[in-house]
Amino acid sequence: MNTWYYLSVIFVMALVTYVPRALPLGVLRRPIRNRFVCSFLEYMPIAVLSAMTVPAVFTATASEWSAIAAVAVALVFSYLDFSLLPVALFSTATVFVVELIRFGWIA
Amino acid sequence: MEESRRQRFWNGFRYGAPIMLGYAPVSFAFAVGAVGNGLPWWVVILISMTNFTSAGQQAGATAMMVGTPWYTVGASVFVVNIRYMLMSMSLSQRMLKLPLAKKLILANGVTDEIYFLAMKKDKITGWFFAGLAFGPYLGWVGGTVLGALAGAILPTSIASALNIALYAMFIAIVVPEVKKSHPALFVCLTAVALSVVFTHVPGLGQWGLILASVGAAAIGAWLFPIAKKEATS
Repeated sequence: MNTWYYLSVIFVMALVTYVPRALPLGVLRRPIRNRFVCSFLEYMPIAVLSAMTVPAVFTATASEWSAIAAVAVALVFSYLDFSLLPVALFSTATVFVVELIRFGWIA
Repeated sequence: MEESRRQRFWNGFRYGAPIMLGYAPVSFAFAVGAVGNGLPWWVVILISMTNFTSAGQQAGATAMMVGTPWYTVGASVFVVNIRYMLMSMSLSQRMLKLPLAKKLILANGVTDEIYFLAMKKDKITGWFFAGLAFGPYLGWVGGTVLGALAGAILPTSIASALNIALYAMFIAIVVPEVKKSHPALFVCLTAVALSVVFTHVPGLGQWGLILASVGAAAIGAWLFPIAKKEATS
């Protein structure tokens, strides 16, 4: 693969990443009054993040057991109002520990 | 009392700092994997600098490793990124007063986590959002640079464990919301259920995610419409 190939593909990737982000911000410039649409947009963050997490999280690591353990840890600590970073750290640590045990990386 | 630009920027920066630290291990893992699978280091860093997204650039980098033509890469990365249209649609309602040029610059900062933190605010100033996005961008690019350097030494399997950080952040963002609101819990569970179902529909691919999000938010809006007053809170 040559430099030109890499540069052109990266450019296309940047473009198809930027356009979906920018287009609605540029086009929707008035307040939306419709109650259903407003509610729909307010629920969107929860809906997207929930759908992105399950089931994808269970195949994100080397074994589903480490993922299940990490999700449990994340659920408990975020329920206890720990913030983003500790939750991320505890979950990552959980994955490492479970995979160390499971794949014998300790030895 | 009006805050100065600098104050708003730093308020946003502090608000986004946890994302900055959460992004670093994820982009580190991305870079280790990409360099380990044969992409040149400068390509990997340039991808993170110009894309600033996890799922899309992972898909794109994986395709580049085997020399996939640009139009195929473009199409698949675009589908992964369609969710940003949904996000920017709702974010637009928080940024109505901003001039177009500023919005077009700030659009670069719309990532899953930044978007969510931004939506928790009633109104967003340009400088606040710039500060909010700036830290995570540094974390993302910084993690990539370190990962690209370490990529030659670290086994990709160990780095893959870092991917969980992204999902842990999603969980840490969603759980406090669903804890305090039953409709939010309903939307969350509906989205999860639809997402699981659509994963098993052949040929749906990334569209399953879009359908699940749109479906869950629409059912939620239909069953539990938010009163106008609340809608901006």
